[in-house]
Amino acid sequence: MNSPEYSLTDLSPPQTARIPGDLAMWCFILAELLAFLLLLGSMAFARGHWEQMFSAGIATLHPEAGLINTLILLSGSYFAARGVRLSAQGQPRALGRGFSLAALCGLGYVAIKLSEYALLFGAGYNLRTDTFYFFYFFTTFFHMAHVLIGMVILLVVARRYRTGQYPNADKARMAGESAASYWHMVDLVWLVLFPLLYVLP
Amino acid sequence: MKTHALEIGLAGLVLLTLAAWLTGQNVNASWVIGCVLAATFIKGQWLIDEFMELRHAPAWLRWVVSGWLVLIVGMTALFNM
Repeated sequence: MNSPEYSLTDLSPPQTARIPGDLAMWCFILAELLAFLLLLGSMAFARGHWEQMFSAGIATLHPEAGLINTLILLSGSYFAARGVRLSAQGQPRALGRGFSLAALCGLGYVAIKLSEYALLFGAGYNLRTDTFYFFYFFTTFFHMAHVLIGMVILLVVARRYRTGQYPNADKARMAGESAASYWHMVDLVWLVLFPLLYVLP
Repeated sequence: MKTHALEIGLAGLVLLTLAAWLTGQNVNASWVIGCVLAATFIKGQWLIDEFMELRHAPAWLRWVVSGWLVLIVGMTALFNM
């Protein structure tokens, strides 16, 4: 298919309950959520168990960086959701634009996270410093890896969508919704990680 | 109103995030933990329903993802309050 235009107006809004995107992608998302459940649950337990160690460690973090990254990821989720919604309303180019902006937000997140790592490494903290820093570096790096995977998925789908590489409108819609769902999962995990590291007293 | 649901939702998420962050930075009391976790749950559930579009998904999927959020927020409350 060479035309980049897909007409999706006949596919929206959904009349019956349906899964947004591909079921295989949702199996992947649920497996990821299970992994994060174990990781964040352990971190919540450790935070309560080694209260003083975590308080001291949290005091060395940069709360403004956490706040900015939260706002960046929320904006990214908004752009991705808006792209999916507008393309379903008959504006196919909106999906590529929305996904590109969401990926750009992801890039901003990664840049801020890496600069925060650099500041902490420069101050002499690393994975082996204590339990807090182990959890901090391991969990945030694991999450950042998911941000990078999400960016790649968004950009690949946006490109395939723009160049009309999907065989029909239904496949294109499924791919767009699957990519957006993965991106929202990354954002959802950060929404829980953010208070654990930067907000809770 | 409905056409701007995503924009209004994003504004709400940003305001809740700022409110929780400012409270956490400036007030050191046990009730803050409850308020911050409540805000986290509201933000997460809105994201699940509107951005993820699970409001119109099969009930089992919405319950599994919302259950994940309840478990994480609940564990954080249990171990830190």
